[in-house]
Amino acid sequence: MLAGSTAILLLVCGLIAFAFLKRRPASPAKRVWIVGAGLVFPITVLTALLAYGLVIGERLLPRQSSDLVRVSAESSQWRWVFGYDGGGRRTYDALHIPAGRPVDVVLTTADVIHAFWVPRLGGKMDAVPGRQNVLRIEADRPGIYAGVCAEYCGIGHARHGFRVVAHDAAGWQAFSAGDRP
Amino acid sequence: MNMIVRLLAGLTLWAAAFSLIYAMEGAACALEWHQLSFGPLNAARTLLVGLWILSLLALAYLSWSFWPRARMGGTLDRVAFGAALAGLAAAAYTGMPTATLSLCL
Amino acid sequence: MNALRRHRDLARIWDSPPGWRGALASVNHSQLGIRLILTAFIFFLIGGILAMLIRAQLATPGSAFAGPDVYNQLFTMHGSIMMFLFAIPMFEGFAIYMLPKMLGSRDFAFPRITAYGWWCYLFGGSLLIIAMLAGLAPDSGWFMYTPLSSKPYSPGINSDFWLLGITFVEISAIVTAVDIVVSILKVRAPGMSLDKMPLFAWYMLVTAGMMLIGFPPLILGSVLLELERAFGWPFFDAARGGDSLLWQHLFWLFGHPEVYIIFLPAAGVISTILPVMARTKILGYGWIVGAILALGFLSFGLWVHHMFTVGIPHMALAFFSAASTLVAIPTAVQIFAWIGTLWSGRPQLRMPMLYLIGFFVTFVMGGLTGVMVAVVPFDWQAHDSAFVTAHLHYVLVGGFVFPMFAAAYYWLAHFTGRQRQYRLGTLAFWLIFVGFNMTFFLMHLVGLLGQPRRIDTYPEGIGWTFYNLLSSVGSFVLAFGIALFVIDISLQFFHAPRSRRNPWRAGTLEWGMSLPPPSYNIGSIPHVESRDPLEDDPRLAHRLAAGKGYLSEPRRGWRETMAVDIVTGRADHILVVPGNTMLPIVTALVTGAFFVLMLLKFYWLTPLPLAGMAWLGWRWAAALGRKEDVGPLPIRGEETALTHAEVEDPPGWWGSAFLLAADATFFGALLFGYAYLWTIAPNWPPPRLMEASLLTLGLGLLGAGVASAARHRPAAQREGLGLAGTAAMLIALTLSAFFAPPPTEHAYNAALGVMFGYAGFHVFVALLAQLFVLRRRRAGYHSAARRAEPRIAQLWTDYAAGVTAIVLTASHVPALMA
Repeated sequence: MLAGSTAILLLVCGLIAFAFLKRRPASPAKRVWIVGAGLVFPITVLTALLAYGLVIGERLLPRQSSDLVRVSAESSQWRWVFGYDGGGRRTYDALHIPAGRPVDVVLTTADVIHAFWVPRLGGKMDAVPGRQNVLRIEADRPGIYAGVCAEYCGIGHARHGFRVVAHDAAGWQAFSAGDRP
Repeated sequence: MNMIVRLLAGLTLWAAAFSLIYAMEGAACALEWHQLSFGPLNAARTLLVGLWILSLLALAYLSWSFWPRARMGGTLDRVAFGAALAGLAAAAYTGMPTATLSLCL
Repeated sequence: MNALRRHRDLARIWDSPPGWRGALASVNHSQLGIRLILTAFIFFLIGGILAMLIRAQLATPGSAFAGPDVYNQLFTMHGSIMMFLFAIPMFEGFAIYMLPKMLGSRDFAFPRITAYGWWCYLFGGSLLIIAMLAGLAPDSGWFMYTPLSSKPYSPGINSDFWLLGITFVEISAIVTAVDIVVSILKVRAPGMSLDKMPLFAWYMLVTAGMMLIGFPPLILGSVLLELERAFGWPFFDAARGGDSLLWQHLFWLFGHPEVYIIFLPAAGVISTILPVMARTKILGYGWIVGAILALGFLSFGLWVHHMFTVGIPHMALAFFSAASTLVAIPTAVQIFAWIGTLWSGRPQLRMPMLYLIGFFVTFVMGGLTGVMVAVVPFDWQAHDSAFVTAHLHYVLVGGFVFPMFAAAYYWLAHFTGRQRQYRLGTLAFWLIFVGFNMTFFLMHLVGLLGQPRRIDTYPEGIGWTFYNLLSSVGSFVLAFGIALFVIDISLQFFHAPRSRRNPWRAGTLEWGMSLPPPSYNIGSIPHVESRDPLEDDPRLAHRLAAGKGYLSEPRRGWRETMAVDIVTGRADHILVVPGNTMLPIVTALVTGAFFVLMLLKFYWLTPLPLAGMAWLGWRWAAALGRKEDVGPLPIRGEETALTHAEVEDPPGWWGSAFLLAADATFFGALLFGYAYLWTIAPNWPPPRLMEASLLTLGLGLLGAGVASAARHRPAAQREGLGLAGTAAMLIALTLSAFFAPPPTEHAYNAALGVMFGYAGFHVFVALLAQLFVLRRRRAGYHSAARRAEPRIAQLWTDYAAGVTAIVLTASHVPALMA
């Protein structure tokens, strides 16, 4: 996408520059400019891009999977409460997940709209009053990832961050068994 | 005034179809019509694809009926025809997900 | 009559009286256009200063320059000012000044409305600035998402300032849009058929049409949120059957078209300037008109792309993702039509062209990142990050501010009558261009690194520091550039040689007058034969001043201009527009009193300004009209035409029709909200439904039918039946509202309350209109020829009848069925 955009930008700049550099008015027909450059070219590029985006989007949806882990995240001004095993266990401002397995985060809010975003683990999703939204994330390898609240939520918005701790298989087992992380 | 109506007809029809399909998608998921099916046909998908095809037929007819004026008439008759075609193309493009993507997920 | 004599006579009729009284009473479009432009530019500078404060805060990590409470006010006000108080009024002012001149007319269709629009804008904008100076500025973001902006989380007066101030300004935008649409469709030079209109008029026609459809949803949203905040009607409170996402739908239903509403006038400026700079004609006029129409419509199919992360099913996102990529195509048609135009001519690198090149580079980049965020998975990553901040500034500054700077240099001679002399502008351009790109290009990168929007600070050592510091430096370079621009322009106002007529040798009519133009624009109105009248006849300006066109003989002290057939541009009738009056400023003050009383929570006093507005509306209509028929009057040579008072559909009828179109959008959005809450919102069904009654429903429907069907009867019967039908509607609505459950209990009840209130308001307006017609007929204002007033009143009655029928059906029938 970046390379394609750069190429298009350079093309447009080049076409404009040439309009000033050329000696005499010399224009291809209206058909070339409007039909060719204005219609056919963007339609081709955009259709391909849209199809690609939709296919990827379908793949990112929270579908059923055998090794799926489900955690809950309740955001509030300005704290994150993460719950495991149907809410039996809680952690604050730090989410524990297994690495290499798909994780569904069920998002709710106690007050205003917040958004869960861990830039290195994939997309973001809003926590909306009265609803439960599900975001699928997956960490490729164990480690600690920084998360932020992406939706403006008042005075504490900038400090409304959290951490995601992705465990290896052994670490996740230990965490699930109830050891303090 | 008829000219103004013709200029706006195709794209208005697109806007109506687009809103209707989106509204029906929301209603279908809220009322769980995607759990219903008639034989091999999923109720929600049949409804949405049906609306999509209807809108395409209507816009194709509209474009076709504007063609004689576009061939004989002035600039604005050609613009009206082009706008109807644009409406048809837009309906085909924006309605395509009804047939191809997963429902209510 | 010689040219000088004509000038004196016309000036006596059209000039505003000197002194402050004249300034308050003026309805002249040139004066009001300039006032709007200057006011909007002052707001631009205020918004710019706020932007610099934001950049000062973000320049270093952990900065203590502004606390989060102040910072939240800064970015909320920056966004709100730039969107509502700068961009829209700026192009409105430009259009108000320029359109009549380009279309070959002497004023807008509704000069008093033009003035009312400016006063409303000035007062509403001032409310927000006062709030800011008092430290009470709105702080929930320019998008005001509920429930953060609702009473429990924003208990102060801050959000009320936004809701009431912006709604006040929106009223001005709606009435101005009606003014613009009717003026373009009806008030042109004879011969100017739709396909000979300058492209700028096409752009403004579509823009104003979009405003009529796009703004009502936001006004509705603001009304609902203010009702929730003031009286506890829970439209957006999930616990009581409301939904915060309803606000987002209503807001973006306005908010996305808004971007194109801002871009299209600027594109119109480009399509006007660029061919002149390239010494050629625009390539593909018909294609561009088609592209404008397509943009106007498609841009309404994008709003959900601001909501890709709120948890809507993927298929629904795909509709909007498809529409968002699709909208790039008409944009591409225009961009390549412009580049093709440059190729087919001999472009010269003059000052306006420099800004147009700045536009091309910046806007194309903004468009490309726009296509990126239209792709759903990419947006899940980029949404609400600094990447989007960068994108939107590339689109809006590239697509609006750069073309407006080009317009400033291109038309400056028109405003000042002076030519550009100093070379400061070139340096200003380069500072602006470099400063802008330095500020915002880096935001793409830091956004992709994970910096969210609207944070007041960030920690050190996560790699954002360097980008933010450079961004801030860039923003100060940009600010220096804008300061130089101001100096450059001011110098020209006060100290530059006079310009000759038509300095760019352009073909459009606005250059066919002396510079700066007189209050009446042109001594006589041309017959237009092509898209570039001045190219056909370079001496047109002299011939018009010498009275060789229409309406060259001033008569009866009337402000006359020509009205034409919409499509063919055939001369249709003479439009006599009202002269200077205090009504606009008084009405704006009374309107303002309503908003201020709401703001101060003196709700029990608000009926006073409402009654005042009804009375002023009456005066407004009563100031027009005549008691005798004048018949056809000469307009040019042997040709004659009727005055607007004696034609079937005068501009007043069209104005009512378009105002009702906007009103219908408001009502449509309200019905959408009702249906949306019912199907989608959590915590439904409500604890109890209203007490429905077939009798009440029947009475209301009968009344609506009678009031609407009365049109075919003779005057006296029509009036009687109309009043009876209207009274029946009023009774049915009152009964329904009386038996509805209390609005604070559940969103269902609140929605019913608003629907009954809306219908009741319109029935009341219809009642006033009918009483007005009754009084006027008895006073002798109507005749077989002067028949427009009853027709306009009938329009309002029909609308009220339709609304009442729908509201009663939508409220009683579901409750009866349950």
